Amino acid sequence: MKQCYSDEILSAYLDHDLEPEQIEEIGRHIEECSGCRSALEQITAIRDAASSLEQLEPCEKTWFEIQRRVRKGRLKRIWVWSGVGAAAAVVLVVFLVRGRPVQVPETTPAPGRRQVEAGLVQEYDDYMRGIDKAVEECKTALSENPHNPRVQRAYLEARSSQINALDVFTSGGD
Amino acid sequence: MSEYQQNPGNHRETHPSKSVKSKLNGITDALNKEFDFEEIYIENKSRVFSTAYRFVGNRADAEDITQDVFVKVFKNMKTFRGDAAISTWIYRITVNACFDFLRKRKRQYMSSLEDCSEKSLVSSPLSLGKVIEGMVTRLPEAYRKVFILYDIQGLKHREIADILDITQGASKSLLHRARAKLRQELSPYVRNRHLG
Repeated sequence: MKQCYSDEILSAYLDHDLEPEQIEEIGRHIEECSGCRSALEQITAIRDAASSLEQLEPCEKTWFEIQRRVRKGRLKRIWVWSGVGAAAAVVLVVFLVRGRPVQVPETTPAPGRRQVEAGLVQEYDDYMRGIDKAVEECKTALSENPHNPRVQRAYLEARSSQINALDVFTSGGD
Repeated sequence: MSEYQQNPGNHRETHPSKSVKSKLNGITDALNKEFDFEEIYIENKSRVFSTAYRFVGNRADAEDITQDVFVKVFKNMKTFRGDAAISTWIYRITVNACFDFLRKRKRQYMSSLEDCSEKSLVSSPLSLGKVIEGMVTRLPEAYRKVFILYDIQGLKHREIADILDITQGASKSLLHRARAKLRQELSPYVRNRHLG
């Protein structure tokens, strides 16, 4: 009888990862060799048991935590650009809806993280005022053009910014 | 006639610039991105979580890795070029996140089985699947990646080659070595259970 085969070869045999002649040769050997037959059966059992392991679901909390982290990350970026961001949204929504140019509203420059730590309340208030203004402008635009999808989205985004901001403020901005 | 139409030369001061328009587009893109992201999460959460669980062997760490993976997915959605399936891209992020996590902890994780010693295996009342789940965390890194992705997650060697940036031949070779190693490690259990 031919020399026995390694586990690696038997595993390849199981998956048909060998040349047809080799598969035939190993098949003949297995019929005669109880050792290789047993090894192959065990490898098959391992493969089958592994493939029958069920897919697992993360708990619901995971999605909420992901959303929280994503929003926090977005707010940090918004924080940097907020000086123009909220105003820009308002300007363009109004422009698109009313079809005429508008003045860019004055906004407070976005506070950096260190500035927030130094004058927390004032900075947060200024930031929130900018977002509130955007919400009000969007609401007006929305009442005039309730079916305009760009206005709807701008309104939703402004509201979302309020929530995100509160989320970060209440968690200390970390 | 609008102010802009009357004085087109002054539009720099009063007309919303392209950058302003692009910012609004950015806002709507951001919203669309959030909707897309939720769909991506629903579609891929069990793949990511199951893979992470099989790598690290416990739910709490797998939950943390799942969070890291999807936050990374969200941040990099714009850079995803679509050359491969999104699930392949997410698997790649997952595998890397798992090994980053394990390296940070600087120790190999034992599974929820806690003790996979030979003695405990012989007397183990657990199914072979559960025992394998525990033993997988002891496999060498390269073997573990391929065994989890192929035998547990059911990916094809072509996909694994893409995810791990190796050849299909290497993927097959690592899989066969992983199974051989597992059979060797599981021999006390297998003998006791008269498996096969």
